[in-house]
Amino acid sequence: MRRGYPRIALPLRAIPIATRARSLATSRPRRAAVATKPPSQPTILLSSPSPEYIEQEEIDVDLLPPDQAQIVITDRAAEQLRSISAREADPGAALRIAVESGGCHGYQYKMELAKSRALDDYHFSHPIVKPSNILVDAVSLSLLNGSTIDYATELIGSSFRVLENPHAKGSGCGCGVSWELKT
Amino acid sequence: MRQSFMAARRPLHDEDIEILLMPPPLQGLIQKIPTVARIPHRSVLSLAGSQAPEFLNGILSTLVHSSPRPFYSAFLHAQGRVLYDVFVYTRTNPAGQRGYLIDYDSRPSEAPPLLDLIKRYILRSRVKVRDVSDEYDVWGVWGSPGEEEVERHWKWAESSGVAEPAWNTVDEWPWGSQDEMIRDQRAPGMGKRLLVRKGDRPPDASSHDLATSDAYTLHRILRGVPEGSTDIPAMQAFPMDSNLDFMGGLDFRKGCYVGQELTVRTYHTGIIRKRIMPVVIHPPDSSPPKVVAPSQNLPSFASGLDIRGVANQPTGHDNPTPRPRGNGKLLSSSNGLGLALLRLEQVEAAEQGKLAFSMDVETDGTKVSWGVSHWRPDWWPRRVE
Repeated sequence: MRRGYPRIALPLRAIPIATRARSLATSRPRRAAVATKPPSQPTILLSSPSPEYIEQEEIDVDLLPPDQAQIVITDRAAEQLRSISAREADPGAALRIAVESGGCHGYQYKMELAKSRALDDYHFSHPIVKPSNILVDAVSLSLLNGSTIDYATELIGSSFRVLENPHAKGSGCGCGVSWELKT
Repeated sequence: MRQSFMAARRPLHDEDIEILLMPPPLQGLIQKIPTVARIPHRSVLSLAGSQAPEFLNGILSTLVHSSPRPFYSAFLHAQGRVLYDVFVYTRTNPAGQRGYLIDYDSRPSEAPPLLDLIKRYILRSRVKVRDVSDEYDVWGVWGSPGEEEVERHWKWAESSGVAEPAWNTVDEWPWGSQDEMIRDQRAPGMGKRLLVRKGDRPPDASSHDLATSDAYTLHRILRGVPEGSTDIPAMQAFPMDSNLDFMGGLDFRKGCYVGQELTVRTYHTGIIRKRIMPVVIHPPDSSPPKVVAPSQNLPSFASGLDIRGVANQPTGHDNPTPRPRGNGKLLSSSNGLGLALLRLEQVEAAEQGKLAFSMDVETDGTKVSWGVSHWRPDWWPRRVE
């Protein structure tokens, strides 16, 4: 069908490099990808729940051994935690992250400011930026372990976020509130 | 209609032929014999705790009231397909605390076992769940004398073909108020459903016929009521295709629950293209009797058989009719009656006499064809345009 049309080969070399490199994106894709991954560090574990307490309280969970409890924190999240701590004038001020059932994909995160550690909590901190306390209870950590905690600054509001949770499947629900568990 | 065009003696038009071909609508033979029967393949979970109502509300497809009361509902997965259709009963323990009993089809399916599924969501909720199947049998009771129906009217979605019942009672909960008992409101005439101590018979057994579980299957086929994983295959069936909306098992306004996203989007912007309908299986090239009754002379048919729509070519008609797209599926069946998931487009064509359903069954290498005719249950909502 197209045989009758003359083929027009574009002389690529003749086009100036500046024009060739132009695309709709304002930053190069490679750099844009880097920008979504802010600098982060594996946290250090300051304390973990005692198996005796978990048993005594009849909490139904397979307790994660301390060497397997791994949460990553971005530098900007740690900075934000440190400034919260300074603002509250409380070196023990902490971000508590919990997983609850709910939402149209089954699970959602709950974040709140905590003053002190509970006996079934794992206590994480950024290795250098301190104080930057993160508390995760034993049940929630089983659905959160391996995640990255970030503090995202956006025009419509800044907030702590959980990124790259290895237990979450797909992109979650349309409104972004809840997520689905990998099985 | 026929008489008027006979009198006019004008040549036959397409519309006239259509009217002539239109098969009379069938209806199921409903007998009012007081009957009790044990319902097979069911297991029971007990779920209790101070947060039990709100916990269930987050994972079930209907609104769960803060004070326990019985209801019919479903567990969906996040992408909106059905995992389990369930009955939820109330129970009061010896200490006077109220909790729930969940009656579900526990035959192995693609879905995770219901107990595991629920446990995964408990996390830190104050909810305790355990299997109590060895304490209870599930019984159906129907055709009881003096049984009154709760009147219902229908709420239609704008354009998707989804409809849900609304009850014409103000202060009476339609699904009942007793512990370990539920008034089965999925369809009129379904009677009630009881949890009875394992090995015991329900109190109604003295005044009712004691029937086999097959009788229960026939009872719900005749009323067009799908139930369990044969009719509503886990991880595959969509809730509205399976009539869960007509049967009062879906809520489109309650807010988030697992699977709500697709269900509510379909309600508002989608369109329902398939429904489960009762069918009668009969020899091909013969029409079934207008009042459909069970027949013992037919073999049994496996669930999952394909039901094809075959276009009727009216003689002397030169417009070729396009081959109908897609197949239906036979679900539960017993004594020549069954439930089938059918494409509504083909159902409408069949009702206009343009198409007939048929089913090929292979036994010992020989293929036998059967005719399949559907009917619309008389309790189904009818939209008045």
